[in-house]
Amino acid sequence: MILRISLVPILLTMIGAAGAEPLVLRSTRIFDGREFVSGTVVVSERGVTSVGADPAHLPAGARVLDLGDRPVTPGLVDLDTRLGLAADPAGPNREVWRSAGDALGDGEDLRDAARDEGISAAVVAPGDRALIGGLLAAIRAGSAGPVVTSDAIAFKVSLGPGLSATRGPTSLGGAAMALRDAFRRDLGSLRDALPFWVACGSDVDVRLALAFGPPHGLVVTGAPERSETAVRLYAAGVRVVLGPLEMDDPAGVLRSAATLRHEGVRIGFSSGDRGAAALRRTAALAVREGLSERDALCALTAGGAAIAGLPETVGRLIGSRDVVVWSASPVDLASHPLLVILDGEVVRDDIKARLPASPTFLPAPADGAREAPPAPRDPPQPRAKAGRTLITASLVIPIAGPPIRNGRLLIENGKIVAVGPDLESPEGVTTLDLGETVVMPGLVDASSAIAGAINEHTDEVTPDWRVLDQVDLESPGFATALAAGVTTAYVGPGTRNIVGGRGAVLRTAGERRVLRPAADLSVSMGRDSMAGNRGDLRRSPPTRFTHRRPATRMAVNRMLRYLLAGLEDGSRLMRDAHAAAFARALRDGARLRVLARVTQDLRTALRIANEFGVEFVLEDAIAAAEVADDLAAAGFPVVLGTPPHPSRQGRAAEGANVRLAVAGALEAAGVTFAFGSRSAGTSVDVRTAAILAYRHGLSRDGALRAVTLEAARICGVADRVGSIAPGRDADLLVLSGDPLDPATRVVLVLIEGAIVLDSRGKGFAR
Amino acid sequence: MGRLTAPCLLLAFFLLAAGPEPGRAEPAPGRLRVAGATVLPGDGPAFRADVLIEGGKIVAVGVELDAKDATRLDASGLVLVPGFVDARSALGVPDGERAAGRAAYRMADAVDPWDRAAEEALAHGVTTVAVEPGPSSTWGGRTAVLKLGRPARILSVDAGVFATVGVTRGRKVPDGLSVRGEWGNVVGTLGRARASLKSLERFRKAAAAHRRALVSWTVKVMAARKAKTEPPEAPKKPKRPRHDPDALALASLVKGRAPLRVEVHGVRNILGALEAARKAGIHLVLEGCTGIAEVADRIPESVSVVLAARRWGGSPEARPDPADAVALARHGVPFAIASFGPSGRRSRFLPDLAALCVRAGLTREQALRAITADAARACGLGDRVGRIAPGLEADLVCLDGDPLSSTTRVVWVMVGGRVVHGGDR
Repeated sequence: MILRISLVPILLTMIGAAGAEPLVLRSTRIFDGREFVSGTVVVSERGVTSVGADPAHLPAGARVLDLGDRPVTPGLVDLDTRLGLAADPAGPNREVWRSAGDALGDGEDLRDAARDEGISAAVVAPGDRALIGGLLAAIRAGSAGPVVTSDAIAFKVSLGPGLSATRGPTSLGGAAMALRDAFRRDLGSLRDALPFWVACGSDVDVRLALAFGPPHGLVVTGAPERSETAVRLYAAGVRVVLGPLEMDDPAGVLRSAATLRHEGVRIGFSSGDRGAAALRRTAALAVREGLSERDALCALTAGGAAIAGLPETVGRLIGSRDVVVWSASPVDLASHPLLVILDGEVVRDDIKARLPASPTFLPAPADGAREAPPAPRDPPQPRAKAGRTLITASLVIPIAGPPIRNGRLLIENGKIVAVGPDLESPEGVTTLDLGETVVMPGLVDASSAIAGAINEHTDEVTPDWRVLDQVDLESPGFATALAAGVTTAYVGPGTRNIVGGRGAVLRTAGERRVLRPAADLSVSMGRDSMAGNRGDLRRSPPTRFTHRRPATRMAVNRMLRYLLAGLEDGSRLMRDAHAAAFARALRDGARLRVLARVTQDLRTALRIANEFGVEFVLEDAIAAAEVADDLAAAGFPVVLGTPPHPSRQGRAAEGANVRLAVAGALEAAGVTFAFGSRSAGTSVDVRTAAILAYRHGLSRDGALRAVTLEAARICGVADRVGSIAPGRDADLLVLSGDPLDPATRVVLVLIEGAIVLDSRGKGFAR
Repeated sequence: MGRLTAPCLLLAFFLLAAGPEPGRAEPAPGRLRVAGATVLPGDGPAFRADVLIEGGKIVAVGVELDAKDATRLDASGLVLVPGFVDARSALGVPDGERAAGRAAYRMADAVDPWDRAAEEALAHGVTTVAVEPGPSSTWGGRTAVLKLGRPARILSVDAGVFATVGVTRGRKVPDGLSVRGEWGNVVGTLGRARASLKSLERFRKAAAAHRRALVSWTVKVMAARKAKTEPPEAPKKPKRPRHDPDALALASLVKGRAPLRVEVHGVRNILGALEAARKAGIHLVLEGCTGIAEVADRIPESVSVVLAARRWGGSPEARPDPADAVALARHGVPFAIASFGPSGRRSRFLPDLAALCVRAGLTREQALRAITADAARACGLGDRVGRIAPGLEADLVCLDGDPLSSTTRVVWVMVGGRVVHGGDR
């Protein structure tokens, strides 16, 4: 009611505004797109002709407005919006290659946005629901509706949470796989011609976007939280479009604007699909959480225009035909436009008669009272690596040789140079005397649960899928593993697919985290790859992924045989994309890591390996003792799961009935094995698994080798970690006593010679 | 003698259970003078003054204060406002805990005083929040009022009983249970509460009589023992009345100690609530109140109003309109602007929510009132927090400018005379 009444004079003004007289705006807070200046803005028919000091001649018949400290800005720029669009162009029926510029509506909402929010230019983008979105267009709010200034400024790809779970990829790795495929085919040419805008929902998404880094620039839309990500974005020269931010967002997300600016990243703001008011709200929330007013305004004007590659005149006052006078700072939620000039035409004029009363209810603040915003925390500095260090301990277990009493280790540039009982102390060496401790190689987890179970549900065979695309290297799981003494871990995909994808061998800490980016290819033979699937297709068409998947062990193995046969019979099957990708992975040197928990799966695995002459690593093979002799004959290594908690033993779940003596039996038969923390049962760390196996018949030497050297061999990194020998990386574990004593604590962990975990002096609290 | 211990223990238990007043803070030592600030007292125009604080309370506000012995805290060039009061929040309560309620539920039992959202809200100058149940059942439970700090303290465990009527958001309303049915539920429960209270009163009287009889009986027993005669029969205990626990929980409501806080939307429901409260003779706080603009002239003085400036999702009938705030202000009806829920993180943006109403036409004074003085009144704490005046608790926020502007930074936050955020503490 009230609103309707107050709109009437505005509408009347609009009608009477055509052929406006020249305007002279005097204000102490003129924002020219980059800085605040004090002075005069002269707006004539050609646009803004002068900003700053009074020009020599004011245009004749000019209307002069004394605005006090009311801000004058160019029209705002909304990057990534649905304003002006008739419909969401990336709706459920996505059309790739289509420009958002083709979907423009009548522009009513854009005109409202200009009048109420001062927005004069926008980048209209497809929504976030499709992985491959479409082209972005730049539009201006003209007096006669939206004007497309460019219909292809960039291409949109979406990795964020908007991806539909029922249609698109269900994992980030799946998105990466689909993108790589698209780039190999038709999207590749576009990548060489246009910048890409990638919608990201988290820091991991940003990392993946950076990995794809197209040559013509990358713009990340979304809010990375960590300052490390901000540093990485700055280093790559990537610009970030933030928004829409909401009051419910976690503090870290709201603070991202300040963090990014602190690291020097160029930012812009967007309203997304939340309507025009979301643009200034986003900026206001960013300012609330530490961004400076100047940076926020710059992001809303010239900075934002530069990100989108808009013409020079957009987002700057001089030469512009879009000018807005505000009641208070535009990044203040209480403010609103008083005067809007759009394309040289006054579309809103609340000061025609009289300047409204000053919005502030405070006496003028004293000069210099305003404090600088608190600077964000400095990013953590990487720990300096010791040049040469001599470590002394009461016992060194090199694994590669017999234990050494009062042993010494010389480390140089992160590598072990020498080990022995009586090493000379060379000149200029740092000494680290560890006293009554045991030094051994950092533990290697041959199959870790750090990444959780990541499955790509849209297909059952995904050989191109890579766990490294998805795994969050800052995940707290790595710190937990490190605290247990694990320095290297194999991280694989989830077990729901017949061929899941490539695992990775990662360090749990340190600077160089990735030892093998694409390691073994996971194959799942057990019940996992058919659980929940439905074999009956007669009643309904196969619309969901559960319909397409195999529902029996026989079907799983048929698929596996089909893929393996493709290796020999290339002419017939190479057309199949799956088989081609599978063959590509094997040519690339990937070993097959086969999940086979029960006896029949193990026997089938041996049979298939024999048929096709391939080698397997058998994972979670808890029934391996029953086929130990066959495994020894075939020479297949085994990754043993840790036994489940007694309360879960004997349940129907596959693998729940593990026997603790299995490791001892394998050792007796001569089978190579290691421990992995991801298993059918409760996950425990690998040292605990070794202790339990030792207690049930495994030899001391075998238990220690299984969590170090053998695990490193199985992961294909034995030339770098898993033993203490000259030339190996100095990834070391320092323990308070016997490694196979459950009461022994982790004292120190070194990775490449640098201390990454230190619990000395912390008593028994750990 | 052994028969006497039971009543004695009972008495001791009652004395202990009454205990110290919840939320009493350890007072800060000495006197503190916040000097030279521009004071926005929360219920009036700005002035430049010193604020003298002693024992966690404001003792004087003025220009020439006799406080030579007081520690001086310089705030010249800065702005001092009362700690903001969020009259309805979900701070410190996990989402699931707000799902469904009963009148007997107490939010104080669910609040996590160490919630991170509380610390963030404090950093933005919010010092008091009323934590309410979610709107997913007719009766939600009893509102708790928290004083934020390290950790937050509970000021009041029973700041009102929360109910929702006519709101369909996220609620399984059984077929046939109309808005009329919900009002029937509310009025019926209030009636049962009154009946419960009466029978409880009878029981209390009988129990007191029983205690007296017990004492005189003990004397008689002693006398009989001495005289070696037959001891008299023991007095009979009164029977404890059977109660509906929900109805019993509403005792404070029907006694007029705590208000009924009801979320209603639409003119018809607002008028219905006013009528029901008048009939039942209870104190009412109206929340949400979409469409109250049209009946702004019919809101009695005794009724408090809590408005939401902005809410996402939800049913269209519950979407707040800042025009309601403007209309109430025009009619001189005091109201609070609150963050509502469902996320506690919103509490810290209370000044920004008020700023949204300024944009719609509210003056800045009115908007500030709505998150300080009037919000405190809506929580029943108008005489303890929400203003800068002698006798009130020293919850102060020092800012470098206009409290409703996003560009303003919080310099320090004081709760109960202690600086808990910023400054040098």
